[in-house]
Amino acid sequence: MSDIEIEVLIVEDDKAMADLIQEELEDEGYQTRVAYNGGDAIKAVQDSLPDVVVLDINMPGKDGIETLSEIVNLNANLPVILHTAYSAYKENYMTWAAVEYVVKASDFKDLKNAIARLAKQAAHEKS
Amino acid sequence: MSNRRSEHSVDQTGCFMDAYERLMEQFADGGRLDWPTVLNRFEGALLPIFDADGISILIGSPEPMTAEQNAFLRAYTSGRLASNPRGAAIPFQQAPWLESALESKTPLNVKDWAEHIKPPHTLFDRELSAVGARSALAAPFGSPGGLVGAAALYRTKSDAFSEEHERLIDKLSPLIQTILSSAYDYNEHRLGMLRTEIIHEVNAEAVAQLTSPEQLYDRVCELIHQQFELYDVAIFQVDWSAGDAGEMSLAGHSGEYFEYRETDYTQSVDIGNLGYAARTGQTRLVNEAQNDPIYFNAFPDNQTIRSELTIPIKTEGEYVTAVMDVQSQESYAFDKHQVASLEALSRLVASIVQSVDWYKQMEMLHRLGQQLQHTLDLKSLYHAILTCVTAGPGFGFNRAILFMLDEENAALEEKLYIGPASTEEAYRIWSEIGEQTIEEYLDQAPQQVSSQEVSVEDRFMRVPVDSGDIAELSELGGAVAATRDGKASCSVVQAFQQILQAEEFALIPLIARRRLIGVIIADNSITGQPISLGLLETLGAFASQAALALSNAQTFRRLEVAFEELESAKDQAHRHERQAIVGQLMQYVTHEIRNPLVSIGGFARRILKTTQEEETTRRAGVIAQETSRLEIILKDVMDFMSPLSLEYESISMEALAKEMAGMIAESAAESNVRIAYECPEPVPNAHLDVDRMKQTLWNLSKNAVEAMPNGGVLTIRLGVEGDYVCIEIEDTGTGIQSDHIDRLFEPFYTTKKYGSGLGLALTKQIIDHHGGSIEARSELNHGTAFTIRLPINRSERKDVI
Repeated sequence: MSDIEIEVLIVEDDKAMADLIQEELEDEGYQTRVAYNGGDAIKAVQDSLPDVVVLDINMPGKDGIETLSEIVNLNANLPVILHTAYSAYKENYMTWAAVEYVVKASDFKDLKNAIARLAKQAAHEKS
Repeated sequence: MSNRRSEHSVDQTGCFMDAYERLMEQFADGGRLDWPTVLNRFEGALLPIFDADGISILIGSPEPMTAEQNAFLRAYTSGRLASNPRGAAIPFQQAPWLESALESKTPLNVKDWAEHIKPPHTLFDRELSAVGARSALAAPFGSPGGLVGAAALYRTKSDAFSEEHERLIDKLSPLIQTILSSAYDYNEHRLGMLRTEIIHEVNAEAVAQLTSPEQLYDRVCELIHQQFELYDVAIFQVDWSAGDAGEMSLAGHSGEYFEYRETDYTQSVDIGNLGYAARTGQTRLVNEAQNDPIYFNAFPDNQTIRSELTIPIKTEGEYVTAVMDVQSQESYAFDKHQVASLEALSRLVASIVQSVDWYKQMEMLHRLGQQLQHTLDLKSLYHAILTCVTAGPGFGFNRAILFMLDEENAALEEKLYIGPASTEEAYRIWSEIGEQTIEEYLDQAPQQVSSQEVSVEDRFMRVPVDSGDIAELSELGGAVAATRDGKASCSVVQAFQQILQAEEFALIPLIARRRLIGVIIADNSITGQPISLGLLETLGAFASQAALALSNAQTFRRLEVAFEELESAKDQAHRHERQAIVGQLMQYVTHEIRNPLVSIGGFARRILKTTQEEETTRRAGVIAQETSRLEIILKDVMDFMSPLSLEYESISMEALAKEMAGMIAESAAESNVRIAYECPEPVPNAHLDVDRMKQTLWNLSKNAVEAMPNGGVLTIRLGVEGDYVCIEIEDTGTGIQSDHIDRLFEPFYTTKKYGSGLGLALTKQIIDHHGGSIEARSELNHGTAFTIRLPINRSERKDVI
């Protein structure tokens, strides 16, 4: 990948899934942070702004949709990828202000492609 | 007085006084006597004085009341009355001697009877011959135009009456006249009373029973037979339903002649006195049957009938429903009084028959009304109503058409026609219907009248109406008779005339809740029976009941339709609800399955990346592959299940095809598949949902590549066909068996080992939503091609053209 470091914040309540995504993305050369719930995700964004957020929808407590609107409130330009097992919400994701909507898949191809596109933009902005 | 009997020839004055006293003595009680008694007393008073063997009294009124009535006298003769107490009928013109005697006002002394009866041989002569007269002495009285007659003494011995006897009878003549006139008046009065009585009796019975006309006919015949002491009395019903070839059937009878009859005796209206009365509506009298040109002898074995009187029984409109037939074995049997009273009786019978009909109709109406109000099915109702209008036990019209008002289209629309297609068929059906009640008839009506239900010209007619027509029909108030000659008040009536082509028809507006809802028209095209005012009145009453029933049924039908709509809306809502629940359930299930699946597959791939161990690699590979398969199935099912909401935009197909070629390039290269892109001419933009179309093309391309595991060529071909852009994706792979081609687009149908069977079904769903089409053609071992046709963007279309 490029010299510019891209940090991805992974918001995922399922520990095993979070590990898996982290490993896959690190393999691709991204910096990663993990938040296991919506509240932690907000804090993480407040602590330091990541380049991309990968956000699960179905989470206990503050769910992905709520978390998304709070993140957008904090920083409207932060690209968020909704990463979920639900395929039905795809039609609505733009209204939630997410940039991408990716249905979870075991090869993570779609997720990696989506991050790559956003990373390109982020790198372009950083440079 | 007995001592003076021998002196009669000596003392003229004494004889006269004797005879005068004897007559006064005999008739002292005022003369309210019947003819046999009168004759008997005359015998007592005059035979000894005149030394006569018998007497014949001739009396009557020579002037006929009408041409058809007999002017005749009656003869009451000693020795004859025992067999015929009513006396013998002697036509006035057959007693010419009486006429001349009246003129000369002198007695007639016939000295040699054998000489006298040489031609002309008159009936009166025959009367005296029958008792063996050899000489006669007759004193005429009266004047032409008044009451005329004679008292005729006769002797069976050879010596004739003397001149003294002549003078004596001449002197007695005024007294004889007085006695006979009084007796005549009494007997006429008595007959008149009897006839009034019979009329009274018939009326009383009819009113008390109000039974069928047939029963009434029988009873009337019986009464006439007894009262008038006739040989035979019969009433024939006339059936005009076969048109001009009408038939008359014996409906009532009393007496001897028709004892000869076979059961159900009928004869044509073309023959005999009966036929004459039926056809002309005129009374006809036959006095000498053997010489009459019209008289018809129904039973040649019986040649005894001499007189026959036929009187038509006419209902309203001079319609002959029956003919009364009275017969006698005597010539000149019926005098004017009898004819008059029988005519009066036939008028009475006619009016009773009509009131029986009326009563029956009212009763029927009541029953029908109840039945109709219980029918809510419009078609059955149309049928029931027209059956009532046409059936014999109902109103008996030959044919009828029911129209309902279609307000939206301003027309009266024919709903049902009932009527025989031909005269023969009518005859057959009417005879089949027979004596059923209307309920019985209605019960079996569907199959009975099936042959009748032929719409005129085999299609339903429409008669246009405007608001003026509707108002005019509504204002008719009830059923009316319209005639061909009568001025049609509105165009609708003219249209009906055109349809029926009838001389006369009944127009029956159907008005419910003060609104016109339809019209029935009916006529008697076959029998030509006139439509009576009474019938129209009853029809009017029937129509209002029918209209109410129809209106109720219409309301019910509307309610039914509304209810059906509501039900189906409810059904649909229910279905949607179910679908929504199923959708939610699917979402839940896929979410709950996909998450662990991704973990399983993801970690298997992690293992594949990190391990070098061969067996582990193989096992993890299987897990990863199987997981992928499950994920694909999940995705396809979800895509297929979720409702398609497409966002159309105008897209360059060339750009789309090239993008697709790029996307598939990697997996194509892996399988050693070359991609060929063909676009021989510029292709206009298509109107489509980009994401969905990409999904579609991706599916097809992926399938194509998978069909060529050992390499080949994937051709993406673009072109234009009319208003459509075509995109073809062709492989050089294994191909598909021809019997599988048709089922390719069915859900869950798959030829692949790893597939949901939903990919092509979804593809077709998407293409259909675009208003396009997809088809596949394949050759085994040579390859498969899918052709998609998509409508050219409308705004682009102009440019192309």
